[in-house]
Amino acid sequence: MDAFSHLLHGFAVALTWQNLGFAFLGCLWGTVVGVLPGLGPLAGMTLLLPLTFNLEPATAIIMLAGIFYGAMYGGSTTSILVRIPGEAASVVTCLDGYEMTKRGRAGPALMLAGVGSFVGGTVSILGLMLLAPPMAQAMLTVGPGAECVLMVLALIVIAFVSSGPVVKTLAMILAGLALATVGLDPLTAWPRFTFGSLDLADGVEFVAVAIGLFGVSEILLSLDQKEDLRAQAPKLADLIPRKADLLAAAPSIGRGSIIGFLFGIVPGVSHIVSTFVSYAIEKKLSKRPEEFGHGAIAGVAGPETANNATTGSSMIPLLVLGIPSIPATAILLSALLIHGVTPGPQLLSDHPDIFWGLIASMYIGNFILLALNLPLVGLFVNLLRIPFAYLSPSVLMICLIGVYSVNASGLDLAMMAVFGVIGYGLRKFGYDVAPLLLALVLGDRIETSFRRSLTISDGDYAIFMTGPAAQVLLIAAGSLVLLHFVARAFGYRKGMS
Amino acid sequence: MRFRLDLRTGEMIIAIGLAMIGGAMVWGGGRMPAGSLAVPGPGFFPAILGVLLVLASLGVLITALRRSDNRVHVTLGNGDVLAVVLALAIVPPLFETLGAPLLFAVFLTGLLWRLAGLRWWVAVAGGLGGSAVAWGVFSYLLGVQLPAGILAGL
Repeated sequence: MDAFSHLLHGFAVALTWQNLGFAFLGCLWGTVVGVLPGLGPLAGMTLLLPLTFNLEPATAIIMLAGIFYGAMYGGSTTSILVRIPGEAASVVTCLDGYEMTKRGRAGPALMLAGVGSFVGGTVSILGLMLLAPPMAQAMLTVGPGAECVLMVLALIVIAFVSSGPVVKTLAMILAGLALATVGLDPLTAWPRFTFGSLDLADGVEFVAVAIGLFGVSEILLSLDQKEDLRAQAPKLADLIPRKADLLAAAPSIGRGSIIGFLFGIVPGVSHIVSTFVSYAIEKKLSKRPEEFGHGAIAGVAGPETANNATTGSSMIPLLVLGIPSIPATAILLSALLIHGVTPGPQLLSDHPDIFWGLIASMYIGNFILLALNLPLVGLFVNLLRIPFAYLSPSVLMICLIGVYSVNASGLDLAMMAVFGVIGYGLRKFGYDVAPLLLALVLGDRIETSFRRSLTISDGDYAIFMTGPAAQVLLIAAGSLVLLHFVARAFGYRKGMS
Repeated sequence: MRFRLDLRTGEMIIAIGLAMIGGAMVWGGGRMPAGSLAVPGPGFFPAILGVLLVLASLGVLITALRRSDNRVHVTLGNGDVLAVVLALAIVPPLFETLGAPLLFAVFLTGLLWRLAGLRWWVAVAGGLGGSAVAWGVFSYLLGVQLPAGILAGL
């Protein structure tokens, strides 16, 4: 079967009433959490994770993915209307989006952000559909040595592209890897740092750490800054952009799609970085760069397109390599593992329903989001009028239910609370906690592949340098580290700041 | 109630905390079979990670000490943040004994009263209503296993 036949099969999976309903629910909830400051895609996904336990794996992943890209759409609304980014990737949109609102042009800004998101999302799904199968085929030939190198490379990339200083990010990655060692040793079942607790024998619960670090800490941070929001929603007729807006936005949307897709493949904070890169490129290429920061339409359309174009391509490392490149895909990984599905090169052959059903649902989800976000923008903006003080106790209760439902363990609740406070403190002092979470997910697998490789090679470390895949990856890792130090030597970072 | 901490001191505290975790990893790893370089045992990875974590913490510490401007302050928490932390701290030990419905009612009432500044009877009504809705949706509709606690017999 070719990609087209597979896609048709995927549509057959995605268009069942159940899957369509859960895709809609995911998109709707995603938009809501994207709109609400203090809740992002990660919190939104983790909060509804328990709801997926009784669902089919394909349905579960379709709903969670819907939340992920729904939040990307929703995040732009608050950035444009009230200058508060619903999630980190929408920070850049505030610059020109809010300026457009101040000049009474919120409608075109929202419309073009929506259209750009739709185009970017569609392009990236197309790329995912075309690139993933051959990549998965190639990955089947890769041994545990190269697999280990690949995962270490992913963490190195995260360390160097993360928004925080490298040394802080490295510390977070190592803390995540350290946390991953808690529990029974994967090869000998020796108990490590379990303190005699049976609850810790399976290791630190990822969902508890994720909800603590992102959900709880986000609520604590939001309670720190009480702001009274007064958002005005534009009327439906005001959404229609002028011809000049369309002409100005079209090339930005095209460039944003490509930038977003390429950055989505890179592990780390790809969707955030892609928006900044898109903004910088648009400003550089603009005939009137002085308009940027004062309501340039390209400054909204480009970054918003790039932001959404990362969603499809960020699925490539997850679905093809089994490596989550951002925390949101780590939640997807966790959901798949809970359902007994291991993502990786064999996902396409072993679970085609999940892979192609997800891709088809993403096409459908993009249409749902376009239909949801533009006419109903007024409704979503009204959500901002609910005081956070009313919302946060309910959200915290859902966090508690979500964490408890995974293992029915009181220890997980305590862990969530502790990581909530730790995440709050770390984020206050400029630490990016996403690398910790990604390292926690990968830690167990890095150690297993490392030790398994040495068993296969009789203790010969050359196994990590044998084969074209391992060599290419090692050169890539070395080049990246070298590039970083060369850039520092020439004061690149200093200049950037 | 707010705590103010200068950035340098805060970063130093975090670095020391991370270094202590690293040290504990080295110590704990040393008490497990380390194996050899060719055949690493269960203690190998924790020990290596512990050493690397201590080194990274030193890096953070040095960066903090080299910070020339010590006037940047970070404000930590307020009464609302403290209330949430305390509420979260009491949930885990009592969750299975008291049960989800009762504990959620108390949890929501307390936070609605404190965070939203509602009158006590409105907060109680909100807490009871919210807890009942959560129990109905998650326990009955979605089949999530939540402990009924002391209300189990009802």
